Amino acid sequence: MNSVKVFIPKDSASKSVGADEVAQSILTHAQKKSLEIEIVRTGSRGMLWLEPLVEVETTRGRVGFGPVTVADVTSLFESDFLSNQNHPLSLGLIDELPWLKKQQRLTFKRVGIIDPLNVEDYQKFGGLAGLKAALKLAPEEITKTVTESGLRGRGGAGFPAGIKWNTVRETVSNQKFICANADEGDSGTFADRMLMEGDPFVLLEGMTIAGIAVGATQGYIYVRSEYPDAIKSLNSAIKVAKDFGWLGNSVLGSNFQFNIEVVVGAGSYVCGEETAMLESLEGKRGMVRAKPPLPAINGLFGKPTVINNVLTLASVPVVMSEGAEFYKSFGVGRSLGTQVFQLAGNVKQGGIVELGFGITLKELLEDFALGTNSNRPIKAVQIGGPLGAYFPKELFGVNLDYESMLQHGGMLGHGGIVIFDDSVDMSQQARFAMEFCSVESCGKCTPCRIGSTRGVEVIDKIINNENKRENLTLLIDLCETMTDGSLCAMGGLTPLPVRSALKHFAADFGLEKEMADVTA
Amino acid sequence: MSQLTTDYRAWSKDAALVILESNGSKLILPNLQLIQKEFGFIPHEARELVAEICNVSRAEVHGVISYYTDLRETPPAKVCVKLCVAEACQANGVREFTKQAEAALGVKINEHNPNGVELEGVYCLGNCALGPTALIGEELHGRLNKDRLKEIVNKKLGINE
Repeated sequence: MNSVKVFIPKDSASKSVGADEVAQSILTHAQKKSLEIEIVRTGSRGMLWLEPLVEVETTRGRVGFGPVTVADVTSLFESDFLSNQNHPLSLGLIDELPWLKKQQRLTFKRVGIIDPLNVEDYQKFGGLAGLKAALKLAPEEITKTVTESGLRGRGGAGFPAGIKWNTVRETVSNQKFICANADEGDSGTFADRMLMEGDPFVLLEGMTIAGIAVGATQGYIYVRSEYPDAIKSLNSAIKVAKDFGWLGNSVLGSNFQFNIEVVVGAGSYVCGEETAMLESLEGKRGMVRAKPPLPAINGLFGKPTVINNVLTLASVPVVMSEGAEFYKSFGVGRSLGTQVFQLAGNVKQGGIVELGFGITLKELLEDFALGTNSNRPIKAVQIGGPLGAYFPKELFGVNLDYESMLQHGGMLGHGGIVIFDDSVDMSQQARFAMEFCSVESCGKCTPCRIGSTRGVEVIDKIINNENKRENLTLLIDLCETMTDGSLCAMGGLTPLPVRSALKHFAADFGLEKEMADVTA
Repeated sequence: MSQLTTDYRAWSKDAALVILESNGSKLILPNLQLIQKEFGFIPHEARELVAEICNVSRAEVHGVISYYTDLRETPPAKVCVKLCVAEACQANGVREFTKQAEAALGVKINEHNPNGVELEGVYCLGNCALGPTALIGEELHGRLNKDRLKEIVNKKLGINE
């Protein structure tokens, strides 16, 4: 028998539920039985309820087994899982699973499939084609393609990437920088992490293209310290890319020079805000800067700087290799391309769902999430991280694109979707939004620094039945001040979860009558 | 890859100087991170050193230390448990689980106990579909229950039950 390839994720989510132990056990069993297997550690397919997911290469394609625990390994071998799929954990052909088949994976197309640090594998599955295409173009043609593709910032703000790049390109400077924002602090989001662990090269490729387009020779990836595996993966990938002749003094033999360095954060949520990130990259307190000047003109160390989210940069290679027309054939209206949604919280089938913008929340919940893990009904869904709105059942028909979300008083943010069952007390969630802001506020502007602390106090008073009507008026007023008066999205958007909780779940605050009066 | 206190060197200003100079950064945060990585925390004496190297005042160095939650001025416990207490884990019952974890480990949240266990509440570890979740050393653990948490921590403490 020839050596059989067995694929087991080394994604930290998979490892968090025992993937390393399962891999070790499978190897030991195979050796004992003198079976020749080759274990390939991949990223995760993003079907987290099936982790650890073990895949076996067959002539028909990869077949899967999951979720596998160490206790299942003996029976897997007894059922001869390397050539048979009659084990109870058998999932059949992985690519045929509806959950994956219904997706439109562009940014995540290699994640879970390839060895993340094998540059040959990377190329075999379309890697470096975008960079090679970009090398044949003039810089202004690259920014034009990115603009035409409709690619917008995936960090949450949704600013058109090509326009930002063009500003940096047109700004004259002896030095420019590319910064990848990998400070993925929003609860309910993990796409950046899974991409950096499962396909780090695609981020490096996107950054290299950005460098060529705007005339930058140095890139930084600002990664949060909570992601030790992503940091290791990126550092290893950078080394491989250097040895390969991709990063360094001559990008793939061209006259372009580009280097990338990983910078590790130190546990501050607000450093995900681009100007706070620049301060942190400069080694200082992560205090938000006033804009203007725009970072595109006056950014890192005062130089023109492209700051994009990991997913934005990682979407560039496919835009360059397949063309702007291809990319914008996905999505709706002014939200073009694909969005990587992350199903999280109390969810039966959580993980990564990449689809064109415009799918409804209902479809995601019914076709992919399949309800809650606790088997209780869904009460609320928070979209877009701690600064995103809570949606009640009545609004599950909302289309998930930038404009529709805005119309419904929410924002897509980084695509995180956190599901809560009917045991949740929404007054506590509103209180937490303020509390989170008070802990993580950089303290530069008053509405955010003081407002969040006052917000916690006022919500507590409402919960404790103190002067409800007056305190509700006060809270609404405070939310307005924070929205209009804060320097950045931290203070500016914290009222979003608070207001949406009040509006849709007034009963949890004991405020049905008062809210009805206020909105009347 | 557990980070036990024994993994760290005893503080020495001379050793710190060698490390920082060989790294060559003039930025405050990376210098502080290097010191913490090597010695486990940032001793008071290190401020002056970093201030000199970065050509800034000690106050500025203090400002950076006090800003970032990762940076610590006291030695870490033998086992540091960073438990996610953000929204996605709240949806999976982490408010209740925190109490269970406190009882199981014999330590209050954001405190440490004489056995060398520290429990810290953090916001998001990127394991949002497999909560409750905790980072213990550099290992991420998901679908936690109190028994498994205790087992993992005891193993790190070298206690076999």
